[in-house]
This record gives sequence, structure tokens and C-alpha cells, in this order.
Amino acid sequence: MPISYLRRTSANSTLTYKNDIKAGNPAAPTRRVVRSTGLQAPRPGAKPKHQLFGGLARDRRLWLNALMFEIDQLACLRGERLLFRKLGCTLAAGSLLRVAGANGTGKTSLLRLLAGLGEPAAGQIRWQGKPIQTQRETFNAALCYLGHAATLSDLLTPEENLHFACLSAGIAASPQECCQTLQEIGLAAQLDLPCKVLSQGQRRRVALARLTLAATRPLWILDEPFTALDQAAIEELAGRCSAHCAAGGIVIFTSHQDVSFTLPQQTLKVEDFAP
Amino acid sequence: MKLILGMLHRDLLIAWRSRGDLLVALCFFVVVASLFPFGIGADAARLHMIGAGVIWVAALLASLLALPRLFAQDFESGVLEQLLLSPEPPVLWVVAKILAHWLGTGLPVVVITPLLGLMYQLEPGAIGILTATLALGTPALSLLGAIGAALTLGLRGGGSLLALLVLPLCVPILIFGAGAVDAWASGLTVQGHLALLGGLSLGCLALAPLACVAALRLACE
Repeated sequence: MPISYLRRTSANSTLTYKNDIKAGNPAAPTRRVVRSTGLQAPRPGAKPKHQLFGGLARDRRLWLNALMFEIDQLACLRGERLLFRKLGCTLAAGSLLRVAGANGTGKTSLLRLLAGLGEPAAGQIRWQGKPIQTQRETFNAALCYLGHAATLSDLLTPEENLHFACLSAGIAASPQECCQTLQEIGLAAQLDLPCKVLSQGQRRRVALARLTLAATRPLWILDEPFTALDQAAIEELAGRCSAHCAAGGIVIFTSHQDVSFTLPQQTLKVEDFAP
Repeated sequence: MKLILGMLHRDLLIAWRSRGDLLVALCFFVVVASLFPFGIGADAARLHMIGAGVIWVAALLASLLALPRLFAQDFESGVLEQLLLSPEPPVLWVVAKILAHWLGTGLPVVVITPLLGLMYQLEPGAIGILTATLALGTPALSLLGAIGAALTLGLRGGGSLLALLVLPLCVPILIFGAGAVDAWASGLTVQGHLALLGGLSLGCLALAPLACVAALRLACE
């Protein structure tokens, strides 16, 4: 087990503990594994179920078979302007891909294309060997996409928002599980407030809480996930992404910040494919 | 099915928490319908004659007022993208969304219509027919309006364009809706009118969500 992985998990527990004290919660829930989030260290002495990718124990029978996400000769037109062309990349299970580039080079456009929001001007995106347009439902069931916006309704509480987000994404999560997840990420005191009174960072946390519940989705596409987060939350999210890749998932993200992951990351510079 | 109920619950919750907006549309309906007697005089026979038509036009205008909000908030907050990436067929939640919209805007109009009918001194029978036509016709207004709302999503000045797009489409509904009361007043049977209105609503229910989904996909590209 990598040392950094252990460190991350213990940092997470401290955070939860602190928040429980802050919220004055006398019956602070002990850390309970709601579902395999990829962030829980196995109990000492417990035999790992699968030895996979660096010896991390994981229980994700769903996608132990090889994942394959192929980007083939992709081109993107934005209005009259060609943002990039002949962009290609193949991602297998465990890939952590950072899409780099200056502002306006087409990072978000690329990520939206990859998520299936919009048709590429040329080229193809294949999931498990088949174009995503021909298998929208299968692909959507494998995907967790988080865009720029926090995808929250201002009039709903974080819990209502998270529950609806899971419902719309087809992730089975009860309101209790959503509540628990939000408490774990440090929003115990804000559970009953409408989202419009939350700060940017807190809104971001609510949006990212979906990842905890979407741990069974193999493909994560995250657009600027680290903006507005504090250092602890950035480390937590980086750990979550690393753990997801270590468990055999694929993470594609953009970021202007330097974030350290426990796994090697590939970098794709969009500028390299500018016309 | 879970998604339909969840969507319905969420949208009704949001509608309830921003109920001031819905009240504005309802007040607009009442005010527009009340303005005509001031404009054309309080001659009972004349009011009696135009009552049904005026109330129908007012209902049509009031339905336009709330339409731009149907998808706009979710579009801006990115919820719409997430919904389009749902593994469920998008038609399902679009129908749920339009139903929630109708429950928030169409149903109150139907409920308050008998009062306005009294103001125009319509007979109880005519009021009954008028309310029935509105109950059958306003779902079609919401469904047609939803296409317009989806098409004008994210455009500058989308509201006025929406009115231009949707109003001509609503003409048949207006004709049969207001016509039913006239037919009743001249002693004709109104079943045909009601059946046509119901048919229009069902036809819209079958086709409008598909058009909405296509328009929403375009808007989110």
C-alpha cells in the first residue's frame, strides 16, 4: 500500500472529526463505509479481495474487464473557428489524463465532446470499441461528468440537490446516503440551507459529493474540479481521483493548478493539436 | 419512473419555494381579463358575448409569461446537461418537467376561471364549458410553449421570440376553446370542440417532448 494513500485517508478522518465537533453534533457518526468510495483503507488484517493495479484492494466486479476509451482524429468547430483537429488519445483502465492548455484553447469544448454533449466536427469517440453516439445509454451509465457549473438549484438544499443529481444520473442513492456523504465532506451544518446561501467552495463540494456516490462509474470527466476548493479539499479530491484510477477507473480532468497525484498522470496539450 | 416522480417532486418543490413568480402569472391573467370591461364599457350583453374569448386570450398570454423560466434556470445551472447525460430516455423527464410547469401555471388558471366567468356574467353552464375547455386546452399550451422555450434557450431576448414562435401555434387551441362556449350559447353540441381540444393536447403530448429534447440537445451543444 503506498504511503501517500494511507496519509490521505487519515487526513480525511481528521477532517470529518473536526467538522463534527464544529457542528456540535453529540452523536457524531463514526466513519461508516456507505459504499466502496475508493477512499477507505482496508481494515488492518483484512485480506484484499482483488490484487489489482499496485496491490490496492478493490471490490469493483463491474469493470474488472478492460476499459477502453478512444479518441480518434477529433476536431472541434466553435462557430467559425477550428479549435483543434486530429486530436487522438487512447485511455485504458487506470489512466489519469490531464487536459492542459491556455484559456480559450478548447479544453472545456473537448471535455464536453468526450461526455457526448455535442457532435465533433470530425473524428470519433469510442467507448469499449463502439462510438458513443451509437450507445448513448450504455455510455451515460458508465460516465460521471462534472462541468464548470456547480449544477445546483439555488432553492433546494444540498441534500435535495445531491439526491436529485444521483437520481438523474441513475445512481441509486437514498436520501440518507446523500446526507451521510454531505456530512463526510464537511457540510453537516449546511444540510438544511438553500444552496444560494452557500459559498463558492461549499457549492463546489456539494457538486463533487456526487463522485463519492458515483464511485462505481468507471469514467470520470471533470472540468476544473479544483477551482474554489481549499487545500484540504483539493488533496482529498486528488486522493479520490488517484484511488479511482488505482481501482481501474479512468479520470480525465482539466486544471490550471498543480495538483499532486499518487499516480503518474498523462498530459494532453490541446495547443499541440491547434490548426 | 423514479426519475419522472423525482423530477416532478423537485420541480414542484422549486415552484413552491418561488411561488411569488407563479402568483405574478396568475395575477397577470386576472388583470388582463379584468381590463377589457374598462376598455369596452360595462354593457352586460357585450361582455357576455366576448367573455369566453377574452378569458382564453388572457390565459394564453399568462401561459407565455412563465414559459421562459421552464428550462432557463436548469440551463444556467448546468442541471440540464446532467439530465441529458442521464442513462434514462430524456423524453421522460421532459414530460415530467412540463407536467410540473402545467401544475404550477395552467392549473391555477383553470381553477380561477369560474370567478372571472362570473365577472363577465356568463351563465353557469357556459362557465362550466369554459373551465372544461381550459382544463383540456392549457396542457397543449404548456406543451407547445415548452418547444418554444427549448428553442429559444440561451438566446438574447428569447422571451419575445418565444411569444412570436408559440402564439401562432396556439391559434387552433384558441379557436376550439373559445368556440365551444359560443357553440353552447347557440344551442349546439360542444362534444366535438372538447374532443378536438383533448385530441390536440394528446397529439402535443406525443410529439412536443420529442421536439423539446432535440431542441435542448441543440441548446446544450
